[in-house]
Amino acid sequence: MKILYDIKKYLRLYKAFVANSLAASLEYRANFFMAVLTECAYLFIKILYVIVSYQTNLNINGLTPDSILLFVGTFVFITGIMSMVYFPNFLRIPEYIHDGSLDLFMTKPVSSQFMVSFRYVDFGWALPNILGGIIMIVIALFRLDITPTWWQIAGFVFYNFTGIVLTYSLLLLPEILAFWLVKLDWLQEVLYAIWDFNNMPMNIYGRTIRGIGTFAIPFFVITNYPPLFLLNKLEVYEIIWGIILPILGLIIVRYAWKIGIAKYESASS
Amino acid sequence: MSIINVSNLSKVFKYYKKSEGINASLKNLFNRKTLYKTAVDNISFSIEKGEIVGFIGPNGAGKTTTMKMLSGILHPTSGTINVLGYEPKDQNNELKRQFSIVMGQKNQLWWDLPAIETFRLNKYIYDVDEQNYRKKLDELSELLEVKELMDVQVRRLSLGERMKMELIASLLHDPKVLYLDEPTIGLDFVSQKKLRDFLKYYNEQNGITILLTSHYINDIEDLCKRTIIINHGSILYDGALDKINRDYNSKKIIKLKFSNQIRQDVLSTYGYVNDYNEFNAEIEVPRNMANEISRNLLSDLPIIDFTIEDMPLENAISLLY
Amino acid sequence: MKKYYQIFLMGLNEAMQYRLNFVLRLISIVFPVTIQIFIWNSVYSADKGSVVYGFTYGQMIIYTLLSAVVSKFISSQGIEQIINYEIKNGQLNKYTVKPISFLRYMFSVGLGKKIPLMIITSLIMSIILIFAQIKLGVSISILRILFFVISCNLALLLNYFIMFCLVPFAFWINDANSLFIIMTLIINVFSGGVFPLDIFGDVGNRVFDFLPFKYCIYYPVSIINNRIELSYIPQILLLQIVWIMISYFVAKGMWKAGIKTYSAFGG
Repeated sequence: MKILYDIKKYLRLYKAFVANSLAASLEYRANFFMAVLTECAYLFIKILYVIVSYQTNLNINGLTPDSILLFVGTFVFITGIMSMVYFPNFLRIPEYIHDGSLDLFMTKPVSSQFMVSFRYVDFGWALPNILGGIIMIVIALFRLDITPTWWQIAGFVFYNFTGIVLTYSLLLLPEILAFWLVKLDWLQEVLYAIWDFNNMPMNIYGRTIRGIGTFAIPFFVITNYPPLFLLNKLEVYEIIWGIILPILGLIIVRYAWKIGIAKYESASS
Repeated sequence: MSIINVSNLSKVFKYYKKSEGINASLKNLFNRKTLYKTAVDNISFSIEKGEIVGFIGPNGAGKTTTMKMLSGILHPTSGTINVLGYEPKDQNNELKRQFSIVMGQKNQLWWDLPAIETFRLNKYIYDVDEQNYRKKLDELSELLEVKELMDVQVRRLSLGERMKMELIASLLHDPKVLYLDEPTIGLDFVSQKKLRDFLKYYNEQNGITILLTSHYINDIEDLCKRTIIINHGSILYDGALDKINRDYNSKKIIKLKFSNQIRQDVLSTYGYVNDYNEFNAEIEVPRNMANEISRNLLSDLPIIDFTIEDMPLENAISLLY
Repeated sequence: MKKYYQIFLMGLNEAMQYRLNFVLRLISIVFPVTIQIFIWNSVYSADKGSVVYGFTYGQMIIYTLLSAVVSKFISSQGIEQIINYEIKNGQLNKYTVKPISFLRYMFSVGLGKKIPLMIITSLIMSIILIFAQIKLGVSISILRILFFVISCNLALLLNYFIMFCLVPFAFWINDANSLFIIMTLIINVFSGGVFPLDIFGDVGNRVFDFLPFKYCIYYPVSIINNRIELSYIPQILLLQIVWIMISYFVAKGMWKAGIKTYSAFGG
């Protein structure tokens, strides 16, 4: 079973990446501490939105402040995962391409896409968000006074997972442009600004924005579907779209990476 | 048995003319002027198992481009490459497990961690089993005398020590072919020498095939029985270096130090004066007359120091360019 | 003064080199503003005439739009990170041998870099004000606009000097850049750059009254959206000047203390 062997190999490799990243971050404890503080400041701003929702008793198409808290909690949690697993790697990709570090990755008997996507793991940025997100989700569930069925919990976890998979494609795809473009920092800035749109449930936005955010630049799918499922508000087409989209994303990003690498192989100097 | 076979290899880079200003950049969007640069121009060579081959030439000659094509990072525009029965551009993992590339200016070591962590990572990447890993690690760290340094953070190591670690990291999976791109760049004299001694020894012991580029002629002179000189993408010379010496360097250099001032025109009666100030001089003389001329010099002039040397290889090679 | 003018031109020139990046960066403020506008639309949707946190709908929208632009208008544009870099790389000696004050040098570069941003943000603000008059029915007197312009420029200076109070931490802290990022975020919140400060309630605002941040965004915007009495405005401007002076002297003192540690370690 070649594929099983490969999976095992990549898992082992990822374990080593995690161990190395952890060791490196223990090396710089002050940096870790600063990263935690920085994320706490960002988290503070995200929570302000929740505070305003409660103070104004905001009601978005039947979503009460308590359910808004559930959405924000999910958003914060997935942001934590994103900043732990993807962010420290993806930001470096343009650098790898432009300074030729990619050369070394390409000569290894391991997928170069895997190497650039998962080499680093960051804990400082992740910690406040993952903890904060879980706490917010739990508080929201208590205040909403719902006892979710196992089915609802399973669906919530599942759509968190598909959201995280989808995040991989959505955030990696723009970085692949670095094979053609020299300056990308503006794009990264816009990208993470779009990410923050999920700070509020997508229902708050107008029809057009909701459509764009679901089908064209499907960032809304990432953090809206899990709480919607939990609240029994995810419609049938959304249930299906939430499964197809991450798979589609992976296929597209895989192709894009291959095209980028082909460009690199034929043109770098 | 030849292990690397390159025939009629060419690489042409396409690039676009860039112009300043917004207007020009807008125009470029629609109508770009494509330019071509031939980095490697129809070269062929083959390398036998266990050879150490030096690849030299000025900057931009096509050395690194060739090396990148050999390791599959770049695809040839035309021509074929065969390494250990594979075409590098296919990115075959079986091939990748059998070669290594070390680039002096790029490192694979984790900066903030001890080198041993990178080694362990490479063990997973290359599927080296624990027993072979241990054995190889012991052997290499012993040879390179870095046993105690493996647990020190890479950023605390000297440049020379770091290069040794890079070498270990790239040899752990026991590759059959090793590409070295400027491995000694920036290293001090002693470290350079040590690295060369190691490569020579390792080549003799393991029969590893090494292809290396370097700016330092000492590297090539010391290590490579065979040298390929490349310029403007073409091979100018392929053979032993001492042959270049014989062919292109029929002269010797006599260096002199005087106790009194000697006039230049007096010296030029003995040979071509290369370098001169009042108390020192360098004279170029034909090889076969070197002994006779030096005898004359010693008896005629107040000489306090005196050496006869071969013409430096740099000079010899620059004759080729 | 003339040399600082030259330095100012240098900064201006540098900013012009990166116009595209700069414009695209500006776009990124559109996103949070959009989210907030949608929130307020929802909040006021039941009754457009209601008053929330003491704001009418029009006042709230103006506040949301203008506070974001003002916060860009007064931003220090990372000058503190540049100074940190210079300090960490031992570049300070380069300036100490020259007959110029480092802080004044950096201040001039910073102002020069700011000019394009100031022009563009001023344009955006004018558009917002016209939009406010026509669409939101908030009438704004010329006098208030005049006070607003003065107040914004004072706020710019104030924010600069507040940042310069933080800059000397580069002498004492390894990862000063993170500190700057954290402080910029928090200062922005406490200045009213995200939401109006009224969300922090009476208790919070009593604390903010003793801090300079309120004078950076909240008060300038309150001048323009009719949230404070016309007669109260001169007092605001005066307090802005007082805070500028205080932060100027604090910054100077901190810098001196920092330089002392710097030269003690030989730079």
